[in-house]
Amino acid sequence: MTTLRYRAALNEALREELDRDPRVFLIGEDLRDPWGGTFRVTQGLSTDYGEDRILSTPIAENGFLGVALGCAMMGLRPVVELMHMDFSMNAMDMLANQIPKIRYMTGGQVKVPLVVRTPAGGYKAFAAQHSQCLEGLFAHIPGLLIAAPSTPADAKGLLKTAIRLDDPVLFIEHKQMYMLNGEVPEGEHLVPFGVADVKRPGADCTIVAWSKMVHMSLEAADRLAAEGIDAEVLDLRTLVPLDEGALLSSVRKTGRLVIVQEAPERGGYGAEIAAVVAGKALSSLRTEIRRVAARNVPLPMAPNLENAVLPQIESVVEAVRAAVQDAHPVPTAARERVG
Amino acid sequence: MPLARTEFLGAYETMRLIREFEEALLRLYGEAKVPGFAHLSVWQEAIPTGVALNLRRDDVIFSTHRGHGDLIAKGVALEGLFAELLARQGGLSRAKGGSVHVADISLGAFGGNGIVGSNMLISLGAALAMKKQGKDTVAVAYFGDGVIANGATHEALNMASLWKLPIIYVRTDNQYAESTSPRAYRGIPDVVRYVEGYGVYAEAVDGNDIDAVADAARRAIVRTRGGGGPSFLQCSTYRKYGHNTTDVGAYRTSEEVETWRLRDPLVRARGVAAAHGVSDAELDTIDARVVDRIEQVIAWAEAQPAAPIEWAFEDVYADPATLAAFGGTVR
Repeated sequence: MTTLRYRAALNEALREELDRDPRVFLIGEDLRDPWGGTFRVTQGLSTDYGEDRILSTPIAENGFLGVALGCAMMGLRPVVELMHMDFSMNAMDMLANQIPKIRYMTGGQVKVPLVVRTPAGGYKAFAAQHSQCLEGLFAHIPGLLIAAPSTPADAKGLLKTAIRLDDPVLFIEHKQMYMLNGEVPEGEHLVPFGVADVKRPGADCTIVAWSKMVHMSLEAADRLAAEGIDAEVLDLRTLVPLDEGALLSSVRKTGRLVIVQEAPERGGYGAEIAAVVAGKALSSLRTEIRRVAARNVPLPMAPNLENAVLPQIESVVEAVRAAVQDAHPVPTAARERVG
Repeated sequence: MPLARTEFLGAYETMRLIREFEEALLRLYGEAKVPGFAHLSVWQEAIPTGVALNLRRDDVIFSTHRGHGDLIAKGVALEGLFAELLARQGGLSRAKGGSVHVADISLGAFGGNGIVGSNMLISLGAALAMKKQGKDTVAVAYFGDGVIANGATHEALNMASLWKLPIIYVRTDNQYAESTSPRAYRGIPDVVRYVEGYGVYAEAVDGNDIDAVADAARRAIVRTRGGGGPSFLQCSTYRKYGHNTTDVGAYRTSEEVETWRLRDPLVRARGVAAAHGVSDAELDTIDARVVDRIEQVIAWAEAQPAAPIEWAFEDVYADPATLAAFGGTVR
C-alpha cells in the first residue's frame, strides 16, 4: 500500500496499462506536458510515452471520439479524456448512437474496447456548463458500461479493469476528488465491474451513493452515529452493471433506503435504484424510499446558491433520521397484509 | 487512362451486379417482402466500382445509408447481404443492422451508418490505427453530398490534414441531400476549393464514367497509400430513385431525370465497350449471368429461416467478464 491522491492513482493506472499493452493509447484535449490535462491526470505521460501514444487533439469532442471508435474497431484500445463531462453533450452522436451500438449493429463482428474518462461534478462554483453529473443520461443507453469510483484505490482498480474490458466504458471521475488522498495497492490491482462495496457497515438504514456522494454519506453516517443511528454506506462503484445483489441484501438487512445522488433528482440514476428496490424488495421496506439529490435547476455560480441546489451532508443526515424515525416497526408489505 | 480490357469487363460485371441486386430488392419491396427501408444507388454504380478496383482486400471502407453498392464492389457475399436485408439467418449482421448498417468486417467493409457525417470521423480513426500499426493500407469513406455541410466534415478534414492520415474521402454527389439540392446549403459552390482549404488533395470527376472514376481513384489511392496524406474525390452522379423506398422523388422534374437516364453508367460503359476491345455480345453474356446469379441469391435468402428471437439479446457486450456481471443477460 502507498498513499496516493485520486489523480495520481489514475495516472498510475494509465502508466501500468500503457506499459502492459502496446495497443493502449490516450487521446483527448490538452493531454501533453507540461500541461498534462486540465486536471493533471496525464501529467508526465507524453514525456515518458511520446506524443503518438498520448495524442493531444483539437477541441472537437465528437471528432476525437469518432477517431477513437475507429481505432477501437481496428483493434487498438483507446482511452479518451473528455475534459469536463458537460462536453460529452458535444459528442452525443458518438457516445449514444455509435460507440454503444456498433457491435450490436454489426451482429457482433467487432468489439469496441474504448474507455472515456471524464470528470463530473460541482461544488466548485464552475456554474452550469462545467459541473454536471450526467450519468443518468448514459445509464439509459444500452451498450455502455459506467464506473464512478469514490476512492483512489477504486479509481486505480476500476480504470485498469475498464481498459482491459472489450466493451466501451464511461469512466466518471469527480473534479472535487482529484486531490483526495487514500491508500492504494501497488502494482496489479483490479476492481471488478458490477461489485458494490460497503464503505461503512450499519444496521439501521442503507445509504446508496457513488462518486463524491460516498464521502458526504460517510460524513453523514458519522454524525448520525453520534445520535445512535447506525447507517450503512453502500458504494455502487459501477452503475452499469448495477450490483443488485448487494443493494437488495443491504436493504433487506436495514429495511430503509436513502439514495444520494449529486445530479438533479428528476430522471436521475437514483430513480432506477428506487425502482429496483421497490420492485424486488418492497416487502423488506419499513418506510418510504428517500432520495437526496440536486434540485431540478441548472447550477448557479455563486457558492451559496450552488450549495442551496446541491446535496449537503446535513440533507443526508435529515433524510436518514427521518427514515429511522418514521419507520414502521414491521415492513410495509407485511403491515398491509395484516391491515 | 482508360481501363484495360479485363478490368473493364470486371468493372462492368460489378456495376451490373449492383444494378440487378438493387432492382430486385425494389421489386421485393413492392411485394412487401422486405422489412424496414432501403436507400438505392441505381445509376451511381460507377463510383464504388471504380474506387474498389484500386483497393486491396485489407483496405477498409466505411459507407453510408446508401451503401449496398459500396459493399458489393468490395466483394461482400451477396447471399449474406440479401439475407440481412430480408432479416433472415445468414444475414451478415445477424439481421440487426439491415440495409443501413450492414457490414462485413472480414472483408474490410465496416458498414453503413444511419447518422449523416459520423463515418467521416470513424473512418479517420481506422486510418489513424493503420498509421499507428505501421500498415500500408488505406481507409475509404464514402459519403453523400449533404455531409459537406455537417460539422463532422470540418472536424474530420482538419484532423486528416493535421495528422496526414491514409484516408480517401469519396463524395457521391447525387444532386440531392434527401429532397434538397446541397447547393442550397453551401456558401462556396465549388467543393474542391472548399476541401483544398484544409490542405487536402482534391479532385473532381464525372462519377458516371467508370474509366474516369477508376483513373482518379487510382491517383488518389496511390498517393495516399504512399504516405501523401488524405485525398478527396468529388464524384458527380444522380440517383434513379427517390431518397429511399418510401420516396418517389417528386421534388425532381422528369426532364432532369431523363437527362441523367442518358448518363446511366452502364449505358455509357456499353458506349465505350468497343474502345476497350469488348463486344456487345460479351456484355450480353455478363448481363444474363448476373441476372441468373441474383435470382439464385434471392432464392437462397428467401429459403433461410427468420432470425431467432434470442439474437435480439446477444452482441450487446463482448467481454465475458461483462456478461458474467450482467448474469448472462443484457440488463
